[in-house]
Amino acid sequence: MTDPWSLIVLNPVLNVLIALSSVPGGNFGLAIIALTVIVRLALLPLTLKQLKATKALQGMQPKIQELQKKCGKNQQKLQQEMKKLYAEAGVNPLGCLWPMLVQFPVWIALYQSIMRALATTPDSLLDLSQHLYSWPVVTQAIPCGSQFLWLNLGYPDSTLILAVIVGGTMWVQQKMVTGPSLDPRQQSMNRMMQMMMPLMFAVFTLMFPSGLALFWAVSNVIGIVIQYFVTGWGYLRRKPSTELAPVHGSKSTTKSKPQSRKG
Amino acid sequence: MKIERLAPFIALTLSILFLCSCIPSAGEAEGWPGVSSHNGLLYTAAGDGSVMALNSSARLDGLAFPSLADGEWYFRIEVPAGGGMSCGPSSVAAAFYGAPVVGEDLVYVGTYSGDVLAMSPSARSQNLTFPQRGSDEWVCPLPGNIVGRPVIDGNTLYVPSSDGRIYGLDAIYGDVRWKSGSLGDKLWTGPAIEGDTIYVSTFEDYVYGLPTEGASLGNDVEPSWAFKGDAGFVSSPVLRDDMVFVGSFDRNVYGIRVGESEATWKFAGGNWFWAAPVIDEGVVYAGCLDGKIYALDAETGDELWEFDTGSQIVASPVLVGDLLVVACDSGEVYILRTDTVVDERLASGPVSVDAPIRGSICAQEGTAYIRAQNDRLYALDVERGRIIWEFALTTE
Repeated sequence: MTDPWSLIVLNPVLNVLIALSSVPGGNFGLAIIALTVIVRLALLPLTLKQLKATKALQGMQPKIQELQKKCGKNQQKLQQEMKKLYAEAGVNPLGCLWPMLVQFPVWIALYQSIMRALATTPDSLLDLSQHLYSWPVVTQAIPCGSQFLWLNLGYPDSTLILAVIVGGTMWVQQKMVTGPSLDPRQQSMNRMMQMMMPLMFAVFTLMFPSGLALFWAVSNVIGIVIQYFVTGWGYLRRKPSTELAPVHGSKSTTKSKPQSRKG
Repeated sequence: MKIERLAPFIALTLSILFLCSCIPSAGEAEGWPGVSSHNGLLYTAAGDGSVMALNSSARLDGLAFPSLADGEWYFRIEVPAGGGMSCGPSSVAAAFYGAPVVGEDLVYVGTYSGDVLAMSPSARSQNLTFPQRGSDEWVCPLPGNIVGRPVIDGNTLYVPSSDGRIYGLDAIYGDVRWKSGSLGDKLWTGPAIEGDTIYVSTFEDYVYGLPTEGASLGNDVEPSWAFKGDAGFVSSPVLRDDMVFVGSFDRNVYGIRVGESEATWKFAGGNWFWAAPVIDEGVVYAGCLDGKIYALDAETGDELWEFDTGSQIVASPVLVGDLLVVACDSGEVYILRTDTVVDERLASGPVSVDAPIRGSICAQEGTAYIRAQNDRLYALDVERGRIIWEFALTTE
C-alpha cells in the first residue's frame, strides 16, 4: 500500500518530472531545470512573502538598535519593547520562517524525485516501478537518460565545474540576503554561515549525483533573480561593517572597531 | 531576537534534513544473486560478497560449511569502495545481480563493480590466493557495471556491461575475443544465445541479434537484426522456436519473430515485466511487477489464465514438472498447477521465507532452491510444498 507522502506529494512530482523529460527535444537534465523553474514559480508568492518579511525585519534594525541602547541589560524590558515595535510596524518575526517551512515538503519531494528517477542501481530502478503512473508519456520515458552536457546525471561531477557553480551561486544568494546584524556574535555567525553553506553544498556536489547538483545550481540562480527583483543586489554591494555599529554593552569578545552608520 | 539567532541553525538543520531525505532513495547496489546448479552442486552468492558452492545433501545433514569432502567452498570478493568523496572503508563486499555461471572447469561471476572472475573450485576449496594462474583462474575488469547474467557458449563467456556493450571473453584465459558495438546507454539485461546468434534487449527500445561468429580482433560486432519497440526493454530476452519473448517498460510482454520488425503480439500487464518469461509447451509464463503471473499462448499472446500473488514478481518463475514455482517480493512462494483447465490453480503454498525474493530460482530433482534477500538459501520440496532445509549464507 502506498504511503500518504508518496501518494500525495512524491508520486505527482516524480511523474511530472519524468513526463517532462519525454517532450520532443527534451532530456532529463532539461526536465530537472524545467521542473525547478515551475516549482519555484509556483512557490513565488510564498518566496516573496518570505523575502518581504526578511526585508521588513532588516529595515527595523536601527530602531532595534536604539531599543537595545535604551534598555541596556534589561532583557525583559527589551523583549516587551520589541514586541510593541513589531506590533506597531505590523511585522511578524516568524513571517520569514513559515513560508520557508511550507516550501520544504515540495523541495524534499523534488529532491527525492530526482534521486528516484535517476535510478542509478537496479534496486532503485525496481523501486521506481512502484511510483509511476501508467501514462504512456511516462512509461515511454523510462529509464531516464542520464547524459546532459558534460554530466552523467546519475554520478557526481568529476570536474570541479558544477561544484564551483553550486558554491558560487549559493554564496551570491546568501550574500544578497544576509544583512548586517547589530550583535557582533550574530554578525560573526552570519559570516560563518555565508561561507559554510556554499562550501558544504560544493562538497556535497562532489559526493552526490550531478542531477541533484544541477537542481541546486538552477534553484540558486532562480533565487538570485527573484532576490534581485525584490531587493536589487541587496547586501552583495554594501559592506555590512560600515552600516551598523555594534551594540554597546554586548558580552561579545569580538574585537571589531565601533563604527558609525553611514547614510 | 531569539528568532534571528535561531534562524541560521534552523536553516542549517533543515538543509541537512533536506539532504538526508534523499540518501535512502540514492540507493546502494544491494544485489540479488540467484542460484544455479551444476553436477549436483548449488552455486550462489551472499551479501558479504562471498561466492559459494553448496552441496544439498551436506546442507540437509547440517554439516559444517564448507564440507570440503562434499565439494563445498566459498570465496569472498571485495571491490574498491564507490567513487566520489567518501569517509567509508576503502573496499566493500562485491554485489551480484546474477547467479554464478558454471563452465567445464571454472565458475564465473560478474560483479556490479564491473569485474568478471573465473574461479577454480579446486583452488577455492584450498583457499589459495586469487587468481591462481596455474589453475587457469583470471579476473577481467570491464568498463561498466555488470547486472545482467553472463552466458557461456563453447569457449566464450558473453558478459553484458553497463557501458552498453557485450563482451565475449575467452572462457579459459579471460581475454576479450569478441565485442559488440555500443548498443545503448547501459545494458542491464542478460543475453540469450540461439545457434550462432546472441540476442539482447536494451533500455533504448531495441532487441538486437548479433552474430557470434566472424568477429575479427579489434572490430566491434554490429547487429544483424534490430527490432524497435515502443519503450525500453526491462527483462532479459528468452528464445523459443524463432520467437523472442521479452518484457518492456511500457507494461507489455512482447512476442517477436526473429528477423521481423513488427511484434507478433503484445500483452499488457499492470506494471513492468521485470522477470524474464519462462516458456514451456507453447505457453509463456510471465511474472509481472503488478503481482500477477500470466500464462499466455506463445503463438498469439492470448491470456490463458492469471494468478495474483499480491506482491511484485522480480524473480523468473521456474517449472518443476507441471508445477510452476512463483516467488515474490513479499517473500512468499506459490506453487501453481499449469494445467489450463483446472479450477484450483494453487497446488500448495504459499510458503513464506519472510524476506524478498529477487534472484533467479534453480530447480533440481523436484527441489527448488531459493536465495532470499535475508541471505538465506532455502530448499523447497515442490511436490510437498514445504521447506526441507535452509542455510544462512552469512554468519552475521
